[in-house]
Amino acid sequence: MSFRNQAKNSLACASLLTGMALPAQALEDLGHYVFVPNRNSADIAVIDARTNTVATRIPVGLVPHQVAVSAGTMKMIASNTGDNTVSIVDLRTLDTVETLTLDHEPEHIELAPDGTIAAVGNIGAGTLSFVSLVENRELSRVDGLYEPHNMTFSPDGSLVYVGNLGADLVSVVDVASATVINEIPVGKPQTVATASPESAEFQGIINVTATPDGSLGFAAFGEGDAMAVLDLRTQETISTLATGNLPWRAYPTADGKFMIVPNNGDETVSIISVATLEEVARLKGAADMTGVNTGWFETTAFVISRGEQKLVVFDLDAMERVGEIDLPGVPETGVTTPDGTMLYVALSSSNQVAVIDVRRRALVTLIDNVGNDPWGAHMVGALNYCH
Amino acid sequence: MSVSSLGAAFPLALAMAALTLAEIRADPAQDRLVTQIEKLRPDLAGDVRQFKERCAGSGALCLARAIAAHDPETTALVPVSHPQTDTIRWERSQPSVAVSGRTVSIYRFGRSVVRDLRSILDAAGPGPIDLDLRQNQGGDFERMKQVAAILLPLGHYPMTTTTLEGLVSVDVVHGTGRDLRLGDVTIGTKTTSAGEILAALLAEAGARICGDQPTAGSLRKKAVTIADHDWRLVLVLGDILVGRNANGNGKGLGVAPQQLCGRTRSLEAGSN
Repeated sequence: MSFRNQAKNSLACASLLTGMALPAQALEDLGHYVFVPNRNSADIAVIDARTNTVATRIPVGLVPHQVAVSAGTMKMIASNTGDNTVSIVDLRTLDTVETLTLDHEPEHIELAPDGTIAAVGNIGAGTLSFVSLVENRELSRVDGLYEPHNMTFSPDGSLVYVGNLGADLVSVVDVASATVINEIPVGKPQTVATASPESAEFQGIINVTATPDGSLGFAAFGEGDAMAVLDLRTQETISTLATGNLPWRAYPTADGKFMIVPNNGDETVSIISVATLEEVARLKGAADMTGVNTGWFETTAFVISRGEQKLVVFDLDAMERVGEIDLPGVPETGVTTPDGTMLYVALSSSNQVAVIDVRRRALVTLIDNVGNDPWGAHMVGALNYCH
Repeated sequence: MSVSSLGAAFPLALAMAALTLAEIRADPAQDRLVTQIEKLRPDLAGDVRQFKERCAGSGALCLARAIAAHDPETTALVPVSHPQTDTIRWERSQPSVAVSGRTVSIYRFGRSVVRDLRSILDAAGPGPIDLDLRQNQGGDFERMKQVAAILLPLGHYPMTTTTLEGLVSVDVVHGTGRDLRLGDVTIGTKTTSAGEILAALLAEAGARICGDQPTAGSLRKKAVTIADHDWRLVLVLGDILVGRNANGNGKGLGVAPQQLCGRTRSLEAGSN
C-alpha cells in the first residue's frame, strides 16, 4: 500500500475509508469526486473528476472552512466558522442530518483512523471538540489549547497532536479522557521589547506532519527559522532542523521520502530528507505560499503562491525549480488525485477550480461557477491538507 | 519503614500525596509554565514552587496570576485578543514599513518587516536613505535584530542585557555590510523599546540621530510565556544597553537626538 493510501486517514483533512460497499446513492463512486468548501456561498461543491464538472452543491452553515468525509459512516462533516457549527451530511441522501453548535470558530477537522470520530479545533476558543459521526453528536470538549490549528491522530487513534498557532507548543490530547496529557515545547518563548507585548505578532505551530508509520512528527516553528522533529512515541523533540525564514509547515511527499517546507519570510522552500533529517535543497519559492502538492510518482512538487497567483514547479529528482504556472485567480489550497496524475486548486477570487496535469506540468482546464470563495479541495484517499 | 507500612500507618497522608502527584501529572500546562519561569527568571524559582502548590488542580492561569500579583514590577499578565482568524491573517499581512521619497518609516516589527524592508531598499537604488522611527513602539526582539542587521554596516554590534540579579548576557547583531548609505534617523518620544534599541544601534554605527526629544526610555527585554488561551505572562528579563552607553542610551534614559536636522526641521517648519 502506498503512503498516499496509507496516509489518507492519519494525514488527510478529508478522508474516506476504502473497502466499503457503497449503496445506491447520489454520488456513485466517492473516489471520483473533489469536495470544495465555498466560504461565501455556504455550501460544498462536489466536482466529478471524470468530467471536471460540478455534480452538486450541498448547503452547509456560514463560512465553511473545511470538509472531511468518512466512508465508514457515509457522512461528510463541514466546519462552519461563521456560525460556530459543524454540518453533518448523509452522503447516501445528501441531506444534512445534524447541525451541531460547537465552540467559537470551529475551523480545522481531522478524522480518526476508523473514521467514526472527527476532531474539530475551535480556534477562537482554544478548545477541541470530538464529534461522533455515528451518533451525530459532540462527544467531548477539550480545553487548555492555544489557538488550535491543524491536528494529527496517532495511527491507533488514541492520541491527537495539536499544532497551536498561538503558542510555541504541540499539545498532546488523550482521546479517551479528552484531556491534554502533555505539551511538547517547540522553539522558545517569544522575546519582545515593547510596552504592549499583547500586540506583538506571533505564529506558533501550524501543523504536526507525521511520517507514514507515525513515529516522527515534523513541526515548523513559525518564529524560529527552524523545524522540530518530534519522536511521537516518547513525545520529545529529537532534532531541530534549520529552515528558511518564517517556515509555514511541512508537507510530505506521498512516498514518505521528503518533507517540503515553504518559508514565507524569505520566499524559499526547504526540502528535508526524512531518512537523514537534513535539508537537501533550499529552492526559490514565491510570496505567501499556502500549500504544496506532489504527484506523478513523486517526481514533481507544486508550491501554491497566493501572493503571486501561481504555482511554482519543482522537479524532485533534480531538486530544481523548473517552472511556474500562472493562475487566473487567487489560489488557496489544492489536492492531487490519489493516482498522482491531476491536481485541483481552489481559486477564491475567481470562483473557479484550476485543473493541472501533473505529468505535463500544465494547466489543462478551469472549472467555472464552483461557488463563492472556494477555499480548498479534498479527495478520498488523497494527501489532503488545509491552510 | 517501607512504603507499604507507611501507607498503613498514614493512609490518608499517602492518599493525599498520591492525589497531589496525580494532579501535578494532569496539569502539563502548569508544569511547563513552572519550568519556563524557573529557566527565564531564576530569581522567581522559589516563589513559583510555592505558588504551584497553592494552585494545584487550578491550572496554569492560577499560577500566572499569583506570580503577576507577587511581582507586579517585573511581571505582568496581559490579555490576548482573538479576532476572527481571517482578521488575524489580514493584520499579519499588513506592512510594517512604508516609504515616501527617500524616507523609510518603520512602524513596527511585524512578520513581514524584513521582507518589506529588503524590497523597499532594493527598489530605492543608490543614494542615502533616511529612516523615520518616530511611530515605532517596539515589538518582537528577534525581528528587530534582523532589521538592524540589514541596516548596519559590516561588523558586530553588541547589546548587553543586565538581569535583575545583575547577570549580564550579550546579544550581537551582525551587520551585513549592505551597500546602503544611511542618512538621518528621526526619533521622537513615541519611539519605544525595540524602536529605540534600533536607533541606538544605528547611532553606534555612526548614523545621525535627529529629533527634538529623546526616545521613551523603555529599554527592557521581556519574555512572553503562555498562561492560557486568553492570557500571556510577561517576564522582564533585564535592561538592555547598546554599545558604550552611546547617545545617552542607558537604563531609563532612552536615545537622545544629536540635533534637529533634515526632515525634523522641515516638519517643524510645516507645523509652524
